[in-house]
Order: sequence, then C-alpha cells, then structure tokens
Amino acid sequence: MAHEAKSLSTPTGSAPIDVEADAIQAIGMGIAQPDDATALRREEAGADYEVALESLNQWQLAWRKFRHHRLALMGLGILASFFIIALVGPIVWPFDFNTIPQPDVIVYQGRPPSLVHPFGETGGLQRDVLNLVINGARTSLFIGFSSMALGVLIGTIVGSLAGFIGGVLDNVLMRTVDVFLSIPLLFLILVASRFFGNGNVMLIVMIFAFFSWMGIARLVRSLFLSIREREFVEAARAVGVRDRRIIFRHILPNAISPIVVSASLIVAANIISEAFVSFLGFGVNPIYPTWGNILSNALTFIPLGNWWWPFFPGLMIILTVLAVNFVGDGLRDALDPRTRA
Amino acid sequence: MTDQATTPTPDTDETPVAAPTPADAPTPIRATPGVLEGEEPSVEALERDWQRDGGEVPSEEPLADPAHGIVEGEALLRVSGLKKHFPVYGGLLRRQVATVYAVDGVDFEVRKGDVFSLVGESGCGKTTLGRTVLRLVEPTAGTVHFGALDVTRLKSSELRRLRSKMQIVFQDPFGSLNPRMPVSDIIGEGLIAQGLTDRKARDRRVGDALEAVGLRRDYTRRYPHEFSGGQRQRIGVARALALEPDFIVLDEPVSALDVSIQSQVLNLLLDLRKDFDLTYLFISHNLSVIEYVSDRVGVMYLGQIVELASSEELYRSPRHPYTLALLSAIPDPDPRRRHKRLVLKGDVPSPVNPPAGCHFHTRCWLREQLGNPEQCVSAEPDLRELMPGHKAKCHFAEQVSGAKAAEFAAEHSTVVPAVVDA
Amino acid sequence: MTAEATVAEISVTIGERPAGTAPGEDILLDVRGLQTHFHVMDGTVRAVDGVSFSVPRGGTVGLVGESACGKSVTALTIMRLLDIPPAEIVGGEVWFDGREILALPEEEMRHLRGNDIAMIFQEPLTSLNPVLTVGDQISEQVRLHLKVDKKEGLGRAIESLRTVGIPNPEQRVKQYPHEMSGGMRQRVMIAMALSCEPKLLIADEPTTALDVTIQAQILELLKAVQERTKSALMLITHDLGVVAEMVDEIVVMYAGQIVEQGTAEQVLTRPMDPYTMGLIESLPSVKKRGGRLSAIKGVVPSPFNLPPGCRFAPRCPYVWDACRTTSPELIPVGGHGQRARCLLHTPAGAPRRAAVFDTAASSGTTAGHGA
Ligand SMILES: Nc1ncnc2c1ncn2[C@@H]1O[C@H](COP(=O)(O)OP(=O)(O)OP(=O)(O)O)[C@@H](O)[C@H]1O
Ligand SMILES: Nc1ncnc2c1ncn2[C@@H]1O[C@H](COP(=O)(O)OP(=O)(O)OP(=O)(O)O)[C@@H](O)[C@H]1O
Ligand code: SF4
Ligand code: SF4
Ligand SMILES: [Mg+2]
Ligand SMILES: [Mg+2]
Repeated sequence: MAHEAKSLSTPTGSAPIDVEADAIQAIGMGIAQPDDATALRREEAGADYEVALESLNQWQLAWRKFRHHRLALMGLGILASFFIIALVGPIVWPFDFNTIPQPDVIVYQGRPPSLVHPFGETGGLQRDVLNLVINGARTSLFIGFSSMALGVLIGTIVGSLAGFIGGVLDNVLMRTVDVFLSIPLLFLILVASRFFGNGNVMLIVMIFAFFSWMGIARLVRSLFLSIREREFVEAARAVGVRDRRIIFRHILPNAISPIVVSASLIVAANIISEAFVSFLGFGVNPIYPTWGNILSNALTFIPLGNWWWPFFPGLMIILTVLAVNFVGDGLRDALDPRTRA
Repeated sequence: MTDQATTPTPDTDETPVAAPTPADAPTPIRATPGVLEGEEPSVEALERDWQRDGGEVPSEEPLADPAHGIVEGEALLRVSGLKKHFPVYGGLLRRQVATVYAVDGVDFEVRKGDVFSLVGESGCGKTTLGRTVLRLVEPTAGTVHFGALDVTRLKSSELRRLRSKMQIVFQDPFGSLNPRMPVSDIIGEGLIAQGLTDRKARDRRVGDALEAVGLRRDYTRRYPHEFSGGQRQRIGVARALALEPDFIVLDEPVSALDVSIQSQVLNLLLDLRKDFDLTYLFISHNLSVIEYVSDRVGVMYLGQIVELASSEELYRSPRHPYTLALLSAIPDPDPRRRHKRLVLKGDVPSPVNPPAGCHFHTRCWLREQLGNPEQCVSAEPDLRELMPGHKAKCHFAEQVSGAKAAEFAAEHSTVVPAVVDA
Repeated sequence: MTAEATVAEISVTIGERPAGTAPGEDILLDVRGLQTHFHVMDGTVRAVDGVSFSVPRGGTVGLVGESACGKSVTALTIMRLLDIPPAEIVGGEVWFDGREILALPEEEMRHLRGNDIAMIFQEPLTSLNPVLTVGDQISEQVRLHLKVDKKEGLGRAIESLRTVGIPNPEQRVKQYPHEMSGGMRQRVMIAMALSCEPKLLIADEPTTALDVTIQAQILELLKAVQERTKSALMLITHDLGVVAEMVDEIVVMYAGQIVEQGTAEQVLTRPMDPYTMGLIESLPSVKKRGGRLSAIKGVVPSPFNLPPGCRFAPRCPYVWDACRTTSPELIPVGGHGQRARCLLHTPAGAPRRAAVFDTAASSGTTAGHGA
C-alpha cells in the first residue's frame, strides 16, 4: 500500500486530490480558489467570528455581567465596607470589656444618639453602641462566612462523592443527609452550643458548619448527576481523561454558580442564627461583642424605650443579609452561561 | 481553469504523498505509528506497558497500534451481536420495572478507509451504538473488535490508551465543549491524558489540529462561546484529530448546523479522511447527507439494523420497506419534482416494548399490501444476504420495489392517521 | 447610512402601495418595510430590517433562511407576540384582511389571534399547557373565539383531532401533552390552530423537531388541511426541501433582510441572489459525491457588527469593491416578479453579470464530475 497518511502538520498543498476537488469548487461558485486545501478550509471556516474579538475568560465575562446588576453592586459595596470596618475598626478603636467609659454615671436606659455618640450609648455601663457594633462586626462576619465556607466544603465533598461514585456510597451519604435534616436544627444547635460551645467562637463556627452542609450536599449531588451526563464530560472521557480531572476541571467549574448562590444564603442564615443563639444566651461569650450579643443585651432593656441600642446592630444584620443575598443574586446571573452580556 | 484541467486525477492508492518536512516545520506526529512525540514517561516504557497489559494481542503485532497493518478495504472494526439494554427503574423502591432495548443485536463491519453510516429515526439507538462501540457505554452483550483487539474486554487503563486510536465527534457543538475551558485545554487535555505532558509540544499539536480544521492557531486562548456553531464543531473535530486516531465515530456531526455551514463541515470531514487516512462511523438521520458521504450504509430501526448495503445499492434499490419509506420521506428541494409520498402510519414504537416478530410490522406498508401475513408477527426475520454485500431484515424483501411503494402511496392519499392503536 | 438605505428600500418594495393605504382585496397579509429591533446589553440587534412581502388569500408563502436571520421575529411581530421592550417595532406596517394591525388595540389583536391568524411553533411541548388536557385546551380556544358552550367546545375539539388523523379522539382529548409523542403533539397544535378556521396559518418550523417519517406525515397533513380549509399558509423553515414541497412563493432572508423573493420554481431553480445560489449549491446530493460541496465560506455576521454595504459581501464569491460600500436594494430581476438584493443586477454590476450567471448555469452539469 503506497499511500502514506499525512501527519497533522504536513503541508497539505502537495496533495493533488485536493486540487481536483478545488476545481469542482471553483466551477461551482464561479471563482478561482486557492490551490491549498488548508487555506480553502480556513477560508470556509470564516476568518473571524466578530461577536467577541476581545477574549474574556469566565470571570471577566461574569464581572462584565455583574457590573450591570445594580443591587448586586450595591450589596458588594456594603459588604466590602463592612469587611474593612471589621478588619480596621477594632484596631483603631478597640473594645475592652474591663474598660468602663464612665464608671460613675449610670443612666439606666442609656443615652440616645448624639454627635459624640452617633449610635447612642447603652444602658447600664454606658458603652458606646458604635464602638460595640464595630467590634462586633469582626466576630459576626467571621462566624457567618467561615461557617459557610466550612459547610460548603463539607457539603461539596459529600455531594461530589455521592454524585460521582453513586451506588451504595450515594445511598449511605444521602440517608445521612436525610437524618441530619430531620433533626430539629435549632434545638440541636442550642444543645451543642451548651455542651461544646462555651462561648468559643471557633467552636460556634464548627457547630454552625456542621448543620449547614446538607443543602449543599444535595445540590452538589444533583449537579454532579446532571453535569456528568453532559456531552463535554463524555467527550473528555472519550479522549481518556481521568476521573479526578473530570471532577475538578469539568464538573465542579460548571457547578460553581448554583453553589455560590446557595452559599450566599447560608451566610445570611448563619449570621441570623448567631444573633439568635446569642440572644438565647448560648452564643459567643458575652464579654466579646457580637451583633447578636449586643442585640440580646439590648432586648432585656427594651421596655425602657431605648430603641437605638438594638436598632443599630439589628440594622447591620439586616444590611449584611440583604447585601449577601443581592450579591448572590448578581452572581447567579453573572455566572449563568446562558445569559450573554 | 486550464491548468486545473491538466492536473492528473490521481487514485488515492497510487499516489504516495511525499510529505516535505523542512527542518523548521512543525513536528510530524506520525513519525512512528502511535507514538506521541515529547512524552514524559518514555515511549518505550509506555509500549512495554501496553504489551504487558494487552494479553490478547498477538506478540508480533506492534502493540501500540492495534490497527497497524490493516490495509484499505480490510475490516478495521468488527461489531458482532452487540446489545445494550438500559434498565428502567421505577416505583418507590426504585426497582427495575422495564428494559430499554436501545441496541438489540447488531452486526456489521467497517472497512479501513470507508465511511460507514448509520441512519434511522430518533431513538432507534444510533448514538447508543456509536458510544458502545467506543465503550463509552458498557455493552450488555456482544463484541467489538478494533483491529486485533477486542475492545469489550480491555481493562480501563488499556482502554484509556486506546482512546487515541478511536475518537468521537458529538452532535451538539454547544454541549460538547466545556464552556469553562479555553480551546487550548479542550483540545490539549486528550494529549495530556495520553501522556504528552510537555507543554510546548502540546501547544504545537493543538495549533496543528486547529490549523487542520481551518481555524487559526492563535485561537487557543479563547473560550467556546466566542465561536459560531460551525467553528465550535470544528473545535470538536480538532479535539478528536489531535490524538491522531485511525477511527472516528461522527455522531450527527452536522445536524445542529445551518445549511450553509453543514457543507463546510462535511467538506472538512471528507478532506481530513483523505489527509489522515481515517475511517468513519457516520451517524445521521439526514438521508441526503448520508448518500453524499457514505460508502456503506446500515439502516436502523428500534435497535436493530434492518438493511445493510453499499450506498449506491441502498439508494438505487432498497430492499426493506422501511428504507423505502425513509427515502420517500425526504423532501426534494427541486419544485419540479413533486412526487407522491409513501407516508408511514403512526410513530416509532417504544424501544421498551418492541413489537413481536418483525419490529416494523406495526407500520409496515408492504405487510398491509400483502394482506397482513401472519409470519411478520410470529417470526422475527433474519438480516439475510440478498445479494453479495446487501442484506435486509424482512421476510418478503424480494417483493420490495419502488413500483409497489408507488402503488401503495397512490391508494392511500388521505390524511394519514397518527397511530395504530393496538 | 442604514436610515437612508431603509427609506429607499421601503419606497422600492412597496412602490405600488403607498404607506397608509390598504392593499387590494386579494391580498390577505401585506407586510411593508417592517423593522423590529432588540435592545440588549451589547447594543441593538436589527433582527428584522425592512422586510416587505405579501400573502394572497389562500396562498402559500415560505420564509427561508439560516438560523437567526429574523424569520421567527418577523412572524412574532406580525402576531404582535413580542415582549416590548426589549423588542421595539421601529417601523413598517402590517396589513391583515384590509386593516393595519400594528396599531390595533391589544384587545382587538387578541381577538384576531386565534380567530383569524393562528400560529404553530417548532416545539409543541413548550406551547401547550402541561397541566391541562389537550381537549380542555382546544375547547377553551374554541369557546373563547366562537362563543359556544362547553359541550359543543369539546365536540369541536374531538372533531378537530379527528381531522388531523388522531385515532380515538374521544379518548385522546382526556390526555395531557406529555403523554403524547412529538408528532402527536404537533398534530394537536395543528388541530388547535385550525379549530377556529383561521384565514392565515403561520407555521414556524413545524417539522424541524420531528423525525423524517413523522415530518412527512405532518407535511402531508398540513397540505391536506390547507387545501380543504382554503386558509393561507406562511411557512417558516430552513429546509429548502420542505418549502419546495409546500409553498408557491418563497422569501429568502439573510441577516434581517429579504435577499430574494419569487415563486418556488424561480427561486429554487433559477436563483438570482448569490446567497440563495450558494445555499442551493451547498446541499449535499449524490451527484456531488467524491467532490467537495460548494460551501458558502465564513459565518453569518454578528448582528452587532453588520458589514457596511452588502451584508453578504464577506462571504460572497462574486464580491467586488462596490459591494463593500453600497447597500444593494431588493430589485426586480427577470421581469416575472422575482426580486433579488444584489448589485450584480444593477447597471454597475452589468459587466460582471454574464460571467456569474453563465458559470452558475453550467455548474449543475459540471458538479456531477466528482462522482
Ligand atoms: N442512559 C440511558 N438510560 C436509559 N435509556 C437510554 C439511555 N440512553 C439512551 N436511552 C434510550 O435508548 C434509546 C436509543 O437512544 P439513542 O440516543 O441511541 O437514539 P438515537 O438513535 O441516537 O436517537 P436521536 O436521533 O434522537 O439521537 C432511546 O429510547 C433512549 O431513550
Ligand atoms: N427576545 C430577544 N431578545 C434579544 N434578541 C433577540 C430576541 N429574539 C430574537 N433575537 C435576535 O433576533 C435575531 C433574529 O432571531 P430569529 O429568532 O428571528 O431568528 P430565526 O430566523 O427564527 O432563526 P432560527 O432558524 O434559529 O429560528 C437573532 O439575532 C436573535 O438573536
Ligand atoms: S417482515 Fe413483514 S412486517 Fe417486517 S418489514 Fe417485511 S413485510 Fe414488513
Ligand atoms: S451585492 Fe456584491 S457582495 Fe452582495 S450578493 Fe451581490 S455580488 Fe455578492
Ligand atoms: Mg443520537
Ligand atoms: Mg426561529
């Protein structure tokens, strides 16, 4: 057999067959064609597709779409400023439990906002509410976000294993999720905080994480099940790509946007839970301010009509939750490949 | 035009293509069959691996290439008795309640250098067959021989290495490219998987593959959404081509494309076949496309091949009533040739419960014309050889003719009922 | 530049019928200089850009063209089913049955839809309500438009299912859309569309999602029903084979504009626009076996970045300098009602014309050499 297969890179112009084919082409369209089949092929393919000459990767594209989402941008702004406050505030203006600003004056209901104390003063020890809120931000945001991160990590691992490996493991893991979901959550958090918490922030983070991974696990499992069937995964398998790479390069990146969205919901939920647990007295050690602690202290004084004391930490919680939700919303749109900017 | 006229019209077999390889030209990949240039684990080591793992391969064959030594016209792929049944789960306990007979006993051969086509309606099992051949789907029964290798009995590590020899191009140019990956990774990851870890060599091969499909080398940093449908399909072809396969399954490669783009991609595929000595299993439901590209055609109905013939034979003298109906259903773009259609009754039955006897009997016009012979329902016909190289799965294949079909079409000109209620 | 081109266009294409006046009695649908744009993030998509054609009473017109050339948007604009915004009907008139309907109040338009104009879509599952039985859906439509009672509505529904070849319609009316196959659902859509005996039936790719044997059934059905009810048919498709079988007149669209129109025979056997010519020649057929197909090179231009001058210029094999600067108009060619949008048919293109159309004419025979 004389015919030698060409290698991919061999110039194809030397194949007389193609010249003949070109002749047909040329007659058909009434024009002279280049006698190089590769050039012809390239010409047929179209020099350029003009839609996107600028090459944007997934994140650049997402950012472009995100920018057009006004609420999400606002949310991002709020979150960013809260983070800066949480990082810088306590350094500039620290809180010390043992330093009591005005030990001799005790106004039972505190003082309303004034120029010196824009958020007012607490009852009892006359602490500055702004100072408390700033110092509380660090712990509250830390709890909200890190418990989310941990929960998402656990949920993603469990969901991936269940969805990718399937079979018995899938059954075991998913039944575990069911069990966790059927436990009355709040009650367990309270009990767990009581026994293991001791007001320690890290432990509280772990407890929250431990109870916020189930939704993510279910989501990730179903994403894995559906993305696994997508053609590009099959195509990767067809060229011999190994499972690990399929998980990390193909499935997870395509699962990211729903995960991000539900993660944002978890942050919001956990910040609220922190406030709630603290309010019930099972949260972070009350000698450290958190938004929840401030709120819970304030509420015992509520009958005295000192609205400013619970109002500002409450406002912070609401703003954070809203901001996180808006950002999540924006991210969902931005990461959805079906919507083109 | 004159110098084109003087160009000799060569026969593929006679013209050795002297490939000039200047020193600075991109590295030819086919230097040694099946050996990837720039591999990290040494070539020898890989070959040794292959030899150790592939116990069934005769030792005198160069084991890295099971297709080696097969010349044009000899069978490169032999499929026999292939079945794929999918279980259907249902009920509270998710027990198996039924079986989809997606591919139900298929035999055929693909000769080296040929385009073998599978045609049939939606759900008849074309895609499943194509994927089972590559063992992307595990067969329920039957064997697939690729050269000397029995694909159905390979271990997964062997199978992964065989991937460089047998490739697939998918139908959906949007769904088959990972939207989160740049082109360089989409095409390059197969090379990584096959052991080409050297970045530079890989980039060169990716560029070569892009060039071969008519795209620019510098497209590698772009993402799939930056390309049109036809260009994406070219990327899909480049992904398969980069591995230097001998055999490619083309699963409806042009069905999702616009008319004007379809012909570009068909041209490309046929060019590449010549240039790289490829063998195709071409899957489509478009009979005009099939007629244009194929050497041999298998017509599928409900998981089985009902007619198998060379392309000319099949279109000139179809021998199965279903084939005839399919051909008659093609709308003809020439308005001067409005023909009387032979329209089949009803829908394709579900592959969960294929009809007894001849699967086609619920819709068969010939059976109706012959006065509903019992045989069609009671006995499943064989895929019989009627003439050398022409097989049909019908008890009455000898009686199938265009004249009979026209007669039937003329008698049944009213609105065709949708289903035959059993 | 575009504004000028469009004004010129309107005056050319609807020269006989000045804007604001009704077309003749024999014309059921008259679309004049229709322009529909979409305002999206990246800019404005001129999806339909000066489209004019008409459908005679009882006539059949096919709208063909590649994906995204504006076929569906044309139909949806006529039906007034577009969301405004992002869509905007920038200009043009649509005369239906002697009335201009773009300015009609929504209430009257709703009456028109379903009663006088009916539309069937490519994917019937998305246009049927999944939680209602098909009987309920058809009878609801019938009752809304014909003001009959519930019982008669159901009777009509059963009758119309029978006419589209669904056996046991008495049983089938009780089924839900998902319990039927694709072909059956399309039959239900046709039954629904025809239940009120519309004057115009718009079918947007009615068979594209169907198998070839089912497509054959549906096409035969459409033909039979159309002949019987004498309703006009506007068929949208990208399949030249389907239009060849189904319609008398063809409108070819490219990038939002009509590039050629004429009778089916004219357009399919003697195309006068290079795009149509390329489209027809690129069809695979056994005659071309062994040779290359004559593909149209390149890709459809981005709607945000249409080429100046002729929109087909970047892909056209006959392009010359003038094409890149001058926008051709849709002008009469050959004197039998055929029109094409190509500079070759203007005085400027006269020197090149002979060469193009002589080669094209001979290509039918030469292409056969490949086999
Ligand atoms: N993973 C699966 N599980 C269960 N059934 C399946 C699976 N894959 C395919 N099937 C069924 O097997 C049958 C054959 O499907 P297949 O996709 O091979 O058909 P096809 O001929 O390629 O059709 P199309 O033209 O629509 O692509 C169908 O009835 C389908 O529903
Ligand atoms: N709702 C919408 N918003 C924005 N752009 C749109 C919208 N609908 C249609 N378009 C744009 O209008 C143009 C014409 O679209 P249209 O749906 O009419 O194409 P078509 O000819 O029907 O194509 P196909 O054959 O794919 O159905 C396209 O560029 C499309 O992207
Ligand atoms: S065996 Fe009978 S039913 Fe089957 S194809 Fe032949 S004639 Fe038709
Ligand atoms: S005007 Fe020019 S570019 Fe446009 S179709 Fe005619 S010849 Fe081609
Ligand atoms: Mg398929
Ligand atoms: Mg459309």
